Amino acid sequence: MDTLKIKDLSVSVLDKVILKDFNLEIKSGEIHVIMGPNGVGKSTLSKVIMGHDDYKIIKGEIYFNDVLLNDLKTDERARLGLFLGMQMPLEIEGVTNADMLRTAIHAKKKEEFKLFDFIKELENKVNELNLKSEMIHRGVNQGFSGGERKKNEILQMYMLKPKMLLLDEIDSGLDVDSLKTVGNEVFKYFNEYNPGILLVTHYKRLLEYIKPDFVHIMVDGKIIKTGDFSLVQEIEKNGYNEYKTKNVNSIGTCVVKEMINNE
Amino acid sequence: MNKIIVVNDEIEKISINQDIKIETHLKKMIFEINTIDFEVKKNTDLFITIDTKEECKLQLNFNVLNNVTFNLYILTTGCGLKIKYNYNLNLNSVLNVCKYNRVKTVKEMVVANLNNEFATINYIFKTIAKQKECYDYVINHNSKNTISYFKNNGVNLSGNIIIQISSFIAKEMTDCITNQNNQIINLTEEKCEIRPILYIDNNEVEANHSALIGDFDTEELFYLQTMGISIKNAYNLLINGFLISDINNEAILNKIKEDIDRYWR
Repeated sequence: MDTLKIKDLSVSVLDKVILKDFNLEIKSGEIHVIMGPNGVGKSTLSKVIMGHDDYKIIKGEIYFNDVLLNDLKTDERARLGLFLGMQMPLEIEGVTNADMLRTAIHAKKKEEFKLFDFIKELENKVNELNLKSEMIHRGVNQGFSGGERKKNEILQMYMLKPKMLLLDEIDSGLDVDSLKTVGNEVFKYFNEYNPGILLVTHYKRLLEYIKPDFVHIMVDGKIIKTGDFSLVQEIEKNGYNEYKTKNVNSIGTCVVKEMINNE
Repeated sequence: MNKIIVVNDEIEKISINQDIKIETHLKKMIFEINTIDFEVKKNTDLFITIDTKEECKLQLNFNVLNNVTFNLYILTTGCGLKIKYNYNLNLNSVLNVCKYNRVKTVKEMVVANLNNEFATINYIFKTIAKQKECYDYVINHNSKNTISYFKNNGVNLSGNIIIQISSFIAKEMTDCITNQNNQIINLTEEKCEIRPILYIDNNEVEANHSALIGDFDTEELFYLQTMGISIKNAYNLLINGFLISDINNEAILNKIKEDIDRYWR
């Protein structure tokens, strides 16, 4: 059983508090969805868990299986089994998908890495995902459509076999067919490997393929309500208006200075 | 493939077919420089290795005749080199240059004359600078419907790189395309410069330039790290990708990989 535990986490970027006293626990086999209006810190959360340098943890802890992540580097967190699926995966010219995956898997498996096994597995997965075989020798996401980029992330996920998936708006920019493919593949991976999933999304449609156990509403850097799938339906119907705080600017420069001073 | 080995400023070994005619003009006076003229008559390839044991000067002139596609691969090694390349392209000729410098100090002038319609030059250049390297490109679109594409990628390891690149398209030269793509990854505090210049006097042209000096994008490094790749290996991947992308010659590719292994492994 793998557990991601976020405890009283407050995070700032450029002197602005983005997450405040955030708490969440995700276990293997659980699917958690975070929904909320734009700019409340949903994408920040997944980047903070992965250790992005732009974000400063003011207080609180992030644990993965009782290992404190706060001071670990991004690659160390990834090698523990965390995986970040990005809203808009980057294009990296010159670095091929195959080179990137080979380096990543070599870093994870070290002496156990076998090149032949890697090539076979990569070829099989590319075929299964109906990706063009030449894409593995192209630059990472270079010239890929939005759908291809997301499929490429699914390929990375299957190759790296993470224990905890952080999926940040992986439905953005996808057409109906691509959304179905990506949703089904993530759920297939979930059923096969039983990871924990933290899914950030704005829309219900992805959740028709990836069925959540918990739905959290996030406003102003913290979870303000948790429920089951019925909460998604409620949001679809009524929006977030009733959850938005009256004073949106309550989190800001003054607060972060105060928090740093109190530290 | 046709091959020429130049040591210092003289041809040491030559192995070419009749598609290329070569003439050498040795310097007669102390202030002159050795010049080698190439006339490319048919579609062909040529690999030139220039190895300098001492600092030297050289001029290479290429004349690519009508309807000829010429693939030119250049590898320079050694101490120091002051060199001038003149490329003259004629009607419907295509010149593809793929070049890697591993010389300590370089001062280089490249003049490309696109003299007739549909003349095209595709120029890919890579370097790892350890001392001072200066490159000056002059691209003359002397006819309408001519195309130039220049891509210069340099990693500054311990020296500095200066690239000046000027494209000239006069008023009557319609439907030309000129594209300058220059990037220097500067791993030092030393100053590097890119001066992209477009002298365009015609509205019916396509002209682009990009010039970027700095380190790799932190988001690219983060992305690779999210795959479990250490920062050191992420750098290696990015440098590898930066230097070997677009290189389509195995000998040059191997030399670049050899240098990447030497400096970053």
